[in-house]
Amino acid sequence: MRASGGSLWWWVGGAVLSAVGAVMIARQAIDEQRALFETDARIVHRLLSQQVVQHDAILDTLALLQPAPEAAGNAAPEQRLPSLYPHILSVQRRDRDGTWADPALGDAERRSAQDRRPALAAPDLPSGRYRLVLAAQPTAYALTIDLRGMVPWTEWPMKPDTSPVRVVLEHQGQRFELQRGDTAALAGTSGWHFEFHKHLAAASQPFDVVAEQRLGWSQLPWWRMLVWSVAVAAVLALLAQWQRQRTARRRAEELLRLGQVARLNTLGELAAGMAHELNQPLTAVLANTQAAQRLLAEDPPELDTARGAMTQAVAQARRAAEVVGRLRQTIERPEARSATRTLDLAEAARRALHLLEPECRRRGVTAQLQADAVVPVEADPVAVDQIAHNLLMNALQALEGVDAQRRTLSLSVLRANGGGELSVMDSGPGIAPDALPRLFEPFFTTREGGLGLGLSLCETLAQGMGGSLAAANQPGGGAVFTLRLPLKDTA
Amino acid sequence: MTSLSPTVHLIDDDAAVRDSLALLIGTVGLRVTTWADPQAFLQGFDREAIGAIVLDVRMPGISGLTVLDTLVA
Repeated sequence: MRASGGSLWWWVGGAVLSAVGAVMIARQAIDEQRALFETDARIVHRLLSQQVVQHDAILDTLALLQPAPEAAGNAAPEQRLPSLYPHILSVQRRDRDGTWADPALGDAERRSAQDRRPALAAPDLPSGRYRLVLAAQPTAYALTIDLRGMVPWTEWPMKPDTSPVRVVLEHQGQRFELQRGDTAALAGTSGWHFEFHKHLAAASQPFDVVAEQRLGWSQLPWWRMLVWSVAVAAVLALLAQWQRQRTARRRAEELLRLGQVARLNTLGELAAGMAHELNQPLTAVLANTQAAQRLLAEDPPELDTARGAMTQAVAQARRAAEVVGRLRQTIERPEARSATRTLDLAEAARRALHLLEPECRRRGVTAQLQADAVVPVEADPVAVDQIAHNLLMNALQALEGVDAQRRTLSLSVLRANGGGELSVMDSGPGIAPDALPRLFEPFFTTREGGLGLGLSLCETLAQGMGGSLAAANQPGGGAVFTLRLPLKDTA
Repeated sequence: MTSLSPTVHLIDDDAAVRDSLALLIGTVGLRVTTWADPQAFLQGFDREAIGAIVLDVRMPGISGLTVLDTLVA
């Protein structure tokens, strides 16, 4: 239940993380697009403003050249303007006392005189051109200007053919499109709409520059978002994997510890039961022999009663021996042998070392394993694990007695003398010579608080599998424990 | 062995222990009464004649400590 709840949280956390990240990536992309759009629109506005202001200046210059030379056919200097400025399609003039060919120009001249600035003459934007009139005496001038031609395309910030931005000039409901933009996207309603709306900076030509762009869903940076989600998933998968491994290792350690505790508990119970079972016959033996002693000391000695007491003492001593015998039978599990199977001793050593790796790190012990590729032995895997674990723990505890730099622990697994041998060598203080012969006795311990059962149990387990356990001091210092197990017949 | 000697009540469910202890206590000149069942002892013993009791703790049915508590009460 905990596992499934945990994985649910991994999924929810991953989904939230990738969604939040994707939204942030999308928002950043949209903001970038918006900033780009606004910069371009502002440049467009500035370029067009500069352009129309120039028209005012041209008309002002023409007016300043008064009095204008009388009409002299093609010699009129203002007629050279279109060749100078290609977007000025033509220049018209009203000479002194003359009239405009088009009454709209006259109307515009009147307004121009009133406002003291050039005026538009009946503008018709969709036609792509407009006329600008400046009232002056004696001669007034009118320019016909090509809208598309006046755009300085060389300085234009966008590619006119491919840019998704639509640019339009507007005046009194009339429109002229300077740049088409992405018509399909602009016709849609989904996505994000950017708009820019501003008067040209010239009172005489009060056109509005309108720029629009629509960013569709398909233009979001889906690839970047996908990469982000995959990255999140990958990182989370790695984390989950790492946590799973850590949990598994912790669980294994816990199980091992529990196993040892359970073993000790069983042992304690066994000992308490044994004490009671033995106490009774021992009390009877004691009482009978003491009574016999007294009866024999009497004068005359009561031989018959004393003999009876001694017979009782013998019977009770036998009873005590039976209790012990029964106990041995219980402890030496007859099923232990049946649990043996073929296992790789090198693998078992690796597993034990792996299990205690955090412990080694914590104690600053460098551990190394030197093993033949595969050493198949006939043994009970649980017992081998238990022995290897105990030997390693013993070695680690022995290393507490030496400097941190000198703490080394080495394992070797090899085939020798017809058996598989696992040796655990430490750089500790070694085994005291007087302790060496008693090392595997039950309840013999050199450690304060130790029960003295670890090595005894290991030896019993090893012997139960037809193997042996030996202890010795290394010539260079430190102890070596060697577990020998029967090799699996290769036949 | 005078009749004035106090009685030692010996209560143990284990016959071997009971008999051997009774023999031993008898050799030093004390009167011994043995009981296999603590319940029978509580019902049948002579309160006036009591000298000492030797009581096993672990017994089936009723523990030695319970017997002691009942005696004190």
